[in-house]
Amino acid sequence: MKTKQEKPEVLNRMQIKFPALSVNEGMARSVAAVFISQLDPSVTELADIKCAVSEAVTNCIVHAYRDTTGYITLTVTLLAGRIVRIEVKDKGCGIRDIRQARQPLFTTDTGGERSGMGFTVMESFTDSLRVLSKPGKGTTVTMTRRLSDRGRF
Amino acid sequence: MSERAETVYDAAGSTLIVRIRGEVDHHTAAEIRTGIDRELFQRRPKRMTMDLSRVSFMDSSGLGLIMGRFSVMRELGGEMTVSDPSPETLSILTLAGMERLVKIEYTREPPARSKPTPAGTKPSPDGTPSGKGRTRRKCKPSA
Repeated sequence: MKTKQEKPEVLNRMQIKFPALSVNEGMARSVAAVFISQLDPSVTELADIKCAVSEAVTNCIVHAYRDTTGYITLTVTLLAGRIVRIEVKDKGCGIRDIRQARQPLFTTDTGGERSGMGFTVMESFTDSLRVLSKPGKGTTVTMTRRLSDRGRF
Repeated sequence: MSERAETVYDAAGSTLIVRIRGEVDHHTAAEIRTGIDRELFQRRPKRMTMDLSRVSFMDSSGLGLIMGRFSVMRELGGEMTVSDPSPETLSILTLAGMERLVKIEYTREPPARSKPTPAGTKPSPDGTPSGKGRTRRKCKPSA
């Protein structure tokens, strides 16, 4: 008997690497949206994904590379079954307590004007969110979202 | 990249109307915040209305921007409302339950010209909203 779940087939993939500059936040979500557009998502789905990407990238800039500079890697994978997988990876400071970081309204940036809603937004606007992090090594956030069929056969 | 977001200020009596256009993210929010705060401290309005009808994108940085301006207005002894959130902003405002903190109002007509709010009057007689994730609507957004 097979115990391992079969992985969905990869249809297409793109990857970009860019420095952790806030000016790149808009670029990253726009590039992701343009790439995903080939699956003909709904306006709402695209808006949700853009927002989730923006949150993940902003976290890298505001938190991961708070006192340093570095690169962010954004990978978007289109899988069979109209599934979009987004991976945002940094080599920044890492998250010490992921569970706490994922709590709504929690933020370590108390001096700034962060709402502490980043992970909550990512979680709400996608179907799944996985956060892997190692203090001092970096963080990888993986989100998936299954797009609706919109009357397809 | 100020071309990604633009802020226009209108005064109507003692109300300052802040119209934001474009994309509100961590990058643009910093500039928007500085601009609004400068206006607030100079003009000291009794009320500030943040018009979100022309915001094409907003993430949680926008929530921080609203919460921060709410605090500034409270410090100045005034109040703040959000008006006509675009569909792009409404979903995140609803998700955050922003209507529990800031009154969200819908106005069909441009608020600056035809709907000046009387200074110092409270337009809402009903208490605080208790519904979870509910959006209070004064009228239906134009279809």
